[in-house]
Amino acid sequence: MSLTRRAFMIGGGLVGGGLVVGVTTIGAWVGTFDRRSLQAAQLPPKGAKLVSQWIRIDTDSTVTVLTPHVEMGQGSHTGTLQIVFDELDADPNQTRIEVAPATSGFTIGDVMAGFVAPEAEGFSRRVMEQSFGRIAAMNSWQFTGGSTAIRFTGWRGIRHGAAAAREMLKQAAAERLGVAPAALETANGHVIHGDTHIPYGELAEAAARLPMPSEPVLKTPAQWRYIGQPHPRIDLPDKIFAKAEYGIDKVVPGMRYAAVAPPSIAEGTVTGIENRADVEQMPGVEVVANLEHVVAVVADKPWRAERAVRAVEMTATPPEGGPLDSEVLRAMRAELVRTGELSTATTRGDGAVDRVQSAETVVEAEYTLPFLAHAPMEPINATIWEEDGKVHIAAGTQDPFATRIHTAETLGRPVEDVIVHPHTIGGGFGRRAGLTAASFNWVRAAAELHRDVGGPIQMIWSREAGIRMSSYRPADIGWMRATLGPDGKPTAWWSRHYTKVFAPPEALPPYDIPHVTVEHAALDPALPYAFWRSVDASIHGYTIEAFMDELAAAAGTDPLDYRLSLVDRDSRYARLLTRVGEMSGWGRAQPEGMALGIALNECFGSIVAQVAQVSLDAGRPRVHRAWAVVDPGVAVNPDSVRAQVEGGIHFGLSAALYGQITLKDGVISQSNFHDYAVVRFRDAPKVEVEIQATPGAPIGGIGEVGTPGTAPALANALARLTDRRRDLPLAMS
Amino acid sequence: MIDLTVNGDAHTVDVEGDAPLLWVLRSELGLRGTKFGCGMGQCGACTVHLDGTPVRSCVMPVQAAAGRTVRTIEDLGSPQDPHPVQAAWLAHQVPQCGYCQSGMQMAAAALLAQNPRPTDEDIEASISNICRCGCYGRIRSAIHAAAAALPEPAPATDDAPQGGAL
Repeated sequence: MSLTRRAFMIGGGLVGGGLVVGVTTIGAWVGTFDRRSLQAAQLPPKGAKLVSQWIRIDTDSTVTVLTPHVEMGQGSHTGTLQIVFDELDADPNQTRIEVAPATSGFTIGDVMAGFVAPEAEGFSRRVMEQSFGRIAAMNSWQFTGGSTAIRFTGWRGIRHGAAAAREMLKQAAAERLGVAPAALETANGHVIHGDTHIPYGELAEAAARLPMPSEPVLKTPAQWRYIGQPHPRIDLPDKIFAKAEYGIDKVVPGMRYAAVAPPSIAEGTVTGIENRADVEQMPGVEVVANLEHVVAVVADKPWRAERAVRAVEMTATPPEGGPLDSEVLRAMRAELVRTGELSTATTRGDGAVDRVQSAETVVEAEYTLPFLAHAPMEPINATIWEEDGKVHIAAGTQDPFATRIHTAETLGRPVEDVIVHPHTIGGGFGRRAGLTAASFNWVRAAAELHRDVGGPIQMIWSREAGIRMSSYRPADIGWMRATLGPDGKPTAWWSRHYTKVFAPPEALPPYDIPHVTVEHAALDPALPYAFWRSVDASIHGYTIEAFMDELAAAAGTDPLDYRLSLVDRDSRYARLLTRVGEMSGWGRAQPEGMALGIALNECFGSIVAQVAQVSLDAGRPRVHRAWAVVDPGVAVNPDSVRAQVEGGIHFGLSAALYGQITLKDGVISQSNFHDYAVVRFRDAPKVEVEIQATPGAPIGGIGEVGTPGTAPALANALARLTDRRRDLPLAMS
Repeated sequence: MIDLTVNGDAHTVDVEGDAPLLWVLRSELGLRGTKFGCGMGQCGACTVHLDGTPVRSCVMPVQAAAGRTVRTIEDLGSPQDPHPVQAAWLAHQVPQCGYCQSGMQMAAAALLAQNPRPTDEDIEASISNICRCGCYGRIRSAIHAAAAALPEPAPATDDAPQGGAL
């Protein structure tokens, strides 16, 4: 990972102070960043004009919205279009969206600016967006993740681009008609003056020559016609009628198929293939390649490649430090977290540690969270070939630009020589994004096959290879201590964790607790780590909310009442908690053998309160119903918001019940859905999601916030039925 | 050489008899709507109908389908003439990433052909396909909606064909 990439990763984690200071010293440099010109220079000179940033308009009035974000089921392409429909007064029937080129002009400065300074408005917002626009362009940052496609890129860059384009089109029309822009209106893809309706296509060329207003007037909520209304997802007809082309569906004439096998030791290096001659004799096999981090077989048919690679007998050396064993790791980490010196601390108030250490009565708990794989439905794949002197790589990737760069670096060729074709993605959840080069092990393997074998190749990883060569949600141990005052409320909270991805605000309880210290070791994650849907909140959402119920129990208070007593009565938290209590019938008697559990989570700018109704049948937990109330600030497409929270709850439930990647003697024990189980119909609860958007609140992200609350809500309900289970996954405890 | 009837068309494929039906459909016949998900019959992304019965094509040797009738998602319906399942999938905005959905729809269509008014318990018992995006609630609702859109089931008789209405 380059230093600059690391710098963003820290910035994205809201410790961007150093970055911000750096930014203020480069004001002049910032002032000259002109995204629209950069984008225009990187598009084909012919065809639709780039009127303002992210917005192209053709002479036939077709509007094309360019977005740096890919569609992987989150619905952000539809939501982005809804924003443009309103801000541009576009004709929805003539407006489309496509993934922008993997070039510097189409990077995600708005995402970075949003993470570092989410509250900035006006001039300071502009400075941040310019600064991070420049920095993102220089560093090729272009990923889909962090619940940002609508929250930041859509709501800032593209919305402003659409509003600016509308003003520019009006200006062009005003000059043509010899009237003031204020005398003009826009609707449905036209500028209107009295009975004169000029289609946008006729004005695009003139508008594109105008300067782009830096502060275009945005529509007010009362003027929204599409934002805030449920809108059918534009990608669904193709998905329902099997027309969507995922990366795995790519066809290149003459392509052969590659299958891979992981090293026989996790994170090891393949040193030899013992039965190479035998494997080479198998039907259809053309090449058996030791790429050291993986073994690959190229064959004429996909099943022949897969059968041959499964027959490979290899030798491998373990990673530095020896073969990995998750129980050994866990014991070492537990020891460190309990008694060792940890490297970072985040504090609120003062002296939380002293207060806990000197208290007579301390509530204690220790939670264990395992490594997790993402297991998206579409197995990892990439198709790579050479055409017209360029290397082409087609794949579902959460970061087309990084895919391009990793391909070029692996091949030792300039980035300009690589063209990436991003496909709609059959599930990402972080697996197809890159926090580290290790996350792009699949891009590297495809590029190496291109380098060493040549010819068009479609590389498809088996499910087993995908599970065993994933990058992983880090395992963690949450060591929690708190003291309670005479009223039962916590006076001091001290938690210690092994793992730190960022220094997350999510690690701090959102409750009115005067003294809090959260410490992290932040040491080697052992396995390559990855963003995993909800990132840090997937860890802290569990430890905080499970511990809150333990504090409530120690205080002898109902868990919902306890939480309400620790948040401002007029806060969004209080509103959501109260409402989810109403929806779920909290406090009413439950059917025999059932209990409710509650959790509150805030991440990526949105808040969810949820309740799970749980039974325990022969030791097996089951969630029968789940209720969630979400406050995303603005719900651009309410139906998509509900869908994402529904889906997030299920994703969290798979992990809560079954999810664990374990290692024994250097081998990952799980390999496919029989031993890396996920939720199916029999486990799927009936879910009710209600949106309670706070008017005037900043827009939050929605793809991830539904996930972290499921595990604690389930664990908290289970604790009412049996002894508390603290270690995840809960069905295995 | 293996003779197959897929979506009403006769094909002869020159592959070994134990080649998985899934890959024959995808890479030999170019029918890529049927998806690879796990390769061991776990997830159901590869579900097709064999003589009207839903099967996991990733673990079905192609020779087992020889001389029989295979139906894939490509034949289920079209935007102009959607299968009731597809119409319901659209109305309920079911898919997210969409990758599992051809298998889900084939499983749902097979279930409805065999059981025109399935209960939630019937759905749970008969469809074990995996959706990582967690669309199960919408799938359930859409199956019930599709069932309601189908003609009233005739009274059951002992010799009623199973899955023949597909």
